[in-house]
Formats: sequence, structure tokens, C-alpha cells
Amino acid sequence: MAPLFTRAGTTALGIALLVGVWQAIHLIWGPFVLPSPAATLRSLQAFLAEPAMAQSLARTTWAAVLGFVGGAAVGIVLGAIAGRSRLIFELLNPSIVAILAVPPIAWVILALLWFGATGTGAALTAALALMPLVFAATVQGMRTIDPTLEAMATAFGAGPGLRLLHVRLPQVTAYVIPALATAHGIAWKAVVMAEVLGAGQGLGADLATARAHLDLPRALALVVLVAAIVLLIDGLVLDPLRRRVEAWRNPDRGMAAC
Amino acid sequence: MLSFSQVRHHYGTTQVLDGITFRVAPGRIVALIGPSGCGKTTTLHLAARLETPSGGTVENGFRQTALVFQEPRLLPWKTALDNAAFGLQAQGVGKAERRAQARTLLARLGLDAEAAERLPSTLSGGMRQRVGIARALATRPDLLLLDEPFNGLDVGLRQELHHLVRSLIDEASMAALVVTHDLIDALRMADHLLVLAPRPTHIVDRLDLPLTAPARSEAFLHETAANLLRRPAVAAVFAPRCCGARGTVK
Repeated sequence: MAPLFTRAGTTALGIALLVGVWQAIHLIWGPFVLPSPAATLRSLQAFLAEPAMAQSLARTTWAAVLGFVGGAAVGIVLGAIAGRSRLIFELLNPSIVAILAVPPIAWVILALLWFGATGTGAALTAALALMPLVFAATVQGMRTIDPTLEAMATAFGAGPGLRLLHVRLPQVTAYVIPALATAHGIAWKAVVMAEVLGAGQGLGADLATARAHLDLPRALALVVLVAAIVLLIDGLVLDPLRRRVEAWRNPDRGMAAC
Repeated sequence: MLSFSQVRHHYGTTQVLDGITFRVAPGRIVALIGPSGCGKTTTLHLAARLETPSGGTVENGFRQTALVFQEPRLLPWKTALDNAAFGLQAQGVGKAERRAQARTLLARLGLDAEAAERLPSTLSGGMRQRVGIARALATRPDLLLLDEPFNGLDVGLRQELHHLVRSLIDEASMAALVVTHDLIDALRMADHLLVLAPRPTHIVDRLDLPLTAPARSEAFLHETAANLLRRPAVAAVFAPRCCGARGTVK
């Protein structure tokens, strides 16, 4: 039997529901609490038409990408080492837990003191916020490597490169890719937060200006813009990777999704 | 020629093999038969060079050895076709060529093009085992090691796969070392039988089978099994164990 809703259809329905609830709240409590979706869309159009928009967008994107790639790379490398050695894991784990325990706002303040109001500080905040998550996922992935598959590959004379790329790596990425998808969202949140609080540039700085001018439609338009960018990257890049992994880890979900 | 000479093996302080001596000549099929957990798989792993014996010598002079595992150990993220082609990939065969060879073998083993593109988790146990057999046969081995390859399959499927594997072995004039705990399975496939007893594993009896495998009728198999079980050493190996005490057959 054909499914009642396609995946795209369900997503569209979910967005329509969100806009409906938004509109209802606007009608009940008025524009000073929540501007209408139409007013927000107009404000977004106006922002996108401004000459400075491209620079803001580029700065925030660059800081988010830098923070995401840097934090993920450090998390993966440290996680791969700690996953192979219990001693290294026990040496690193207290530091990772400490980084996890520090609220991102504290990193924002430290980054401001270290780097001033720059995108580097925002990227560092993002990297520190997401790194422990990627580290933990990589450690778990490394620990679940199946030695019987390794023995099978050895029995067939597979060399170190083939064993790494076709036997070990897929098992680890099954844990790392879902973590990267979550980490990507964290990167954008952390960068925008750092920019709001003091980086003085990027979409976060525009958000801080909108707040100062009590321009609620513009503030909401910027929130919608950031959410749309995160959803777009997740939908185009990370979700296909995650679904590919799920196809063999959870065959029922993977097949149903295909 | 595969040759085991006075092979001993330990895991820590536990001795699992003691004085195992036998040979597998080119084109011959030898079965190792014994109860579960008596070191048969260890013997096979020594032949495949997955382990090194603690004592004695294992010499494998065959050009290409391939192993069919008890649990097929397929890579869950690869399709049945790519799993069947994995041994060829390890040999450096190009993608198109290895896939074509694997596809032909899978078809021979009863997996059509649709099944070949499926992930292992969506295949039945019998289909997964066929993929494991195809993976081994694709490497064109002259020695095939089979570790209880038909375990857990229903009777009809076992017989079908037995005949299929035996005919593929005969076609390529391969030698094979088959491990099983099922006496009838061993009699159906092998030219020579070695009966193993556990703790530590040692050979208690040997039997050369007179007829070629296709000429052995079901009556012959059951009669030979009954005769074999009348031998006290073999009977002791297969006697039911109750409350930790080994029974005896008179």
C-alpha cells in the first residue's frame, strides 16, 4: 500500500502547521508579541535586498563553517585515538567533560577577551560547543568495531587501506554522521549567539541591532533566515548521509525512507 | 597440499588442540567432525593463517585459500553483490570485472539481480550464507575452508546447498576442508572423515569413503553413519551428555 504522505509532503504539512500556529498566536496576542508571518516575510525580503546583507551572511557562514569543521576535526581525531586506547580515553575524558560543562556563554566571553570582536572568537565558541559531542560519538564508533569483520577481511587478504576504508570506517561513520548533523545545528546557534553578544558583525550583530531598535519583525526575519539556512544544509548534505547510514543500521527505517 | 603435523594450540593456559595430524591433498574433500565447541573452528583458522599454532607445524601449499564462515560475516553496508565481490576487491580486481564475476556466481547460487542489490539485513539466512559462499568461490581458490556453512538452515535448503557447493567444488577441482558437527552432512560431502574428541581436541578416528559423493544414496549415508557410531571411540564423542557426565555406548 502506498504511504499516506510522502516525505516532502509531510515536511510541507509540518511547516504549514507551524505557520498556522504562528498566525493564530499573532491574531490572539497582537503584533507587539509576535508579528504576523506575512510581516516577517516582508521584513526578510527588505533585509535580503540590503547591500550589507551579503557581507553579514558571508561572515556568519564563514564562522559557522570554520567552527564546525575545526570542532568536528578535533573531536574525530581525539575520539579516534581515545577509542583505540583506554588509557588515552581516561586521560582526555576529564578535559572533554569540563569543556562540555562550561556554558557556551562563558566561551563567548573568553573568546571576546582573547580575540576581540572577530569571527574567530565566534568560530572558537562553536568549535568548543560541538567538539565533545563529536568526540563521544567517535569513541563509541571506534569501540563498536566488529573484530569478526576484521578477521574476515584479513582471511581474504585485504590490505590495510581496504580494511580501513571498507571495513572500519563505515562502522565508525555510522556513529559520527548523526553526531555531525546535530553538531552542525550547534555551530550555527553558537556563532549567532557569539555575534549577538559582541562579535559586532554577521547576522548575530544584525539581530542585536534589531533588538536595540525594538524591530521585532526584523529580529524574527533574521531568526527565520538562520533556521532556513540550517535546514537547507541539513536537508541537502547531512540528511542524505544520515539516511544512507540508517539504511543499513536500521534497515526498516532506511528502507521506509528510500 | 595442506598438512597439519602434531599441531597443538593454547588459549592462555587452556589447551584446545593436541597432536592434530592430517593432510588435505589437491582435489580431495576432508571433513572434520565432532561436537560443538571442540576446536574445529580453531583448526580451520590455523589452516587459514588467522592464527598461529602454539606447537607443531601447519603447511599450506595451496595457491589460493578461501574461507566460508559459520556466520557469513557480510559487511552490512554493502549490497549482496559488493559483499560477494569483496574477496576479488582484496585481490585488486577492477570494479566492473569483480562485480560481473560476483553477479555470475550469485546467479549460479540462486540469487537473482534484484537480490544481489539488497543489503544483507534484508536477506534471509540462507541467502546470506549463499553470498558468503559466493564471496569465497569468486576468488577461485584451490583450497576451500568451510566452517559449518549450512548450520541453522532448514533440511531442504541444507541438501540443496550441499549439492550445489559440492558440484561447484568438483567443477573447479578444488580441495576442501569442511567443519561440521553433523555426521550425515560430513558423509554427504567428504572423501575422508576425521572424528574429533574434545578437551583437548584430538583425532579419535578416520574414515575413507569409498563412493564418489553423487553416488552416495541416503540409505548409504545412514548405514555408514550407523556403522561409524558403533565404533566405541566415535560413539563416545557423539553420546548424549547428561548432567556433565559423558554417556557410554555399548
